[in-house]
Amino acid sequence: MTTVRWTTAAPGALQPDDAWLRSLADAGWLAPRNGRVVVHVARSARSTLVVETARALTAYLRRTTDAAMDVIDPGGSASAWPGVGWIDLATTERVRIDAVCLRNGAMVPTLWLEDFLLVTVTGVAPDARYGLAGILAAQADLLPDAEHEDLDAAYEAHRLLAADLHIACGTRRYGAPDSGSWWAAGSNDVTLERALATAAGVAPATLPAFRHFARHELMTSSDDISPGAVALEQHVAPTGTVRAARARTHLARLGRMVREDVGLAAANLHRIPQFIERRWPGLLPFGKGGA
Amino acid sequence: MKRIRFGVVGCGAVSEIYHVPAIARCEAATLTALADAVPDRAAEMARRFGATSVADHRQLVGKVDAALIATSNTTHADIACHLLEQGVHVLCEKPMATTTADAERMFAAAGRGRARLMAGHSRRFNPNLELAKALVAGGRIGRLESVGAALGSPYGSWPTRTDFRRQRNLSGGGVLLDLGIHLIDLSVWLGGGAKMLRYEATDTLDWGVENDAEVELELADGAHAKISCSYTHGLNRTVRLRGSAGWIETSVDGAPDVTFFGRDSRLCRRAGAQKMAVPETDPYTRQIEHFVDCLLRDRPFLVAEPEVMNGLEIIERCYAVARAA
Repeated sequence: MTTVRWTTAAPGALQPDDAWLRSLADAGWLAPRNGRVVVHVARSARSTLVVETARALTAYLRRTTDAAMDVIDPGGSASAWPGVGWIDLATTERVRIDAVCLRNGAMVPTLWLEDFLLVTVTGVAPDARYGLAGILAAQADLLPDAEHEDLDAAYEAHRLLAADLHIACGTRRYGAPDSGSWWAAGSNDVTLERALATAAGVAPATLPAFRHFARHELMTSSDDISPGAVALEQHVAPTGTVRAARARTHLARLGRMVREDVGLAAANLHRIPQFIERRWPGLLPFGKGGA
Repeated sequence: MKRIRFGVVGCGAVSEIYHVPAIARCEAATLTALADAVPDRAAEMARRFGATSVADHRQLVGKVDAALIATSNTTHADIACHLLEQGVHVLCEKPMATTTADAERMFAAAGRGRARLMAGHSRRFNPNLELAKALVAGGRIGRLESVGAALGSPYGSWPTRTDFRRQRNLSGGGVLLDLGIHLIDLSVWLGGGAKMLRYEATDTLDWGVENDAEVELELADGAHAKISCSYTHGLNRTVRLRGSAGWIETSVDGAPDVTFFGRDSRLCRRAGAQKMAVPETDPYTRQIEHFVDCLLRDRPFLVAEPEVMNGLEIIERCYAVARAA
């Protein structure tokens, strides 16, 4: 079974053809749930190609289903999406969910308590935090403070918020429209991200997100489930840049934790004399047990 | 900002530990005067909280805009009626009354005095139960099918100043009226109304009032509730809500989380049952803030009159069944 479907188009093409979208529908990936489809246009690596791909998708779904259609587009505006519902996550109510990785929990939009087909459409770009920012970075954007806790937020977003279908798109050479457009789709976020990394010529296991995810779950190989993959050029940030960014993030995180712990310790300093008095009555000259 | 001048009638443990500090914390309220059957007790608490003490509730009239009543159960109605008829708004500790007739008398007095009356069902102000209610009302677990709730601990394991709960003439009933009322109220609130189906109780401690009780209720839309309360042993203090498409479990007492599973929720479809965190806040403070806010903005109370009457009707029916048996 093919778990990632690729397609390409000539330079300048901004939308995938209907045949490819139909193949996604034939795979059962575009079946509305509860009569509703929500398309998430990712903010990270957002481009005209990404927006036009989402537009082609919504147009296709409107032609082929009678599902209610909503768009989440944090990088866009409601006026850019006539005829479809607009969801502004910035003003959507959220609920705090216990999270393995985030000590204060994950703030999940209450929208995720509802039932609908969710499709995430994202671009792919070199990124200092991820090496290659694709689906996992797009999902992490759904959680507030993703910048501060990037890989932890990415893992929690993967665990809690992942879409039913993920579509990534870009140009063969990053930032070069004349190199031709490509699209890849899959129902599993990790599988698609691995396929993208492999297509970009990097071993998935060397990317920070996969190393981080491997602490929590088994990472399967996608070597033989991505036929027709396109060779992607310049989609991965240089190793040195990624390492430096990871080191900066790590230090910033340590700094935050130290500040927080020092604050908590300072707030409890006044308890120390009481503690000493309880454990060793009379030790302190001003304690009740003293002379 | 207009502030509500608050009086307190009854300076027992619940007032000292919860209500009076909550009023003191409320920015829109001023703790003005306290009354108690033991004048020294009222004077001592008034000193501690920066208020004045008065000889009895009648002297609150003209000094306060609203009063909290936290006296022995059977005295609530007469005190409340007097204050309400004089135009003093009343927040009354649960059980608001020990009979439906008394409750009707209290609401009628409120009407005559153009004052407002709310029953102090404090559990509703726990953020975890508020979230559970929102999940049920939002259809997140489908149609509510059953409620299971328990609340109990050996008598004496919580602070009390008087022993009125063991004296029928002051308490008006036993554990059902004292603790069970919380669970009945939650069932009425969550289930949209309730009818009593079965009641069983025992008085193993020989107090003349029940020490253990179990009630089954039929809720709106055919849902079923089973509640247990005890003065003799610890019960798990949880409420479990089962629906046609999911379930919720949380603490009756207020806890920082609600465990939720919704079959039709994206979140649970992806990641299974989830623990939702809520802020740990004092329900008594939120209850006072709500009461004051409703007075200042002329908004309806969260605890509505028909729900209060429904809860008391159930208890009355339970006691009628016990008497008949």
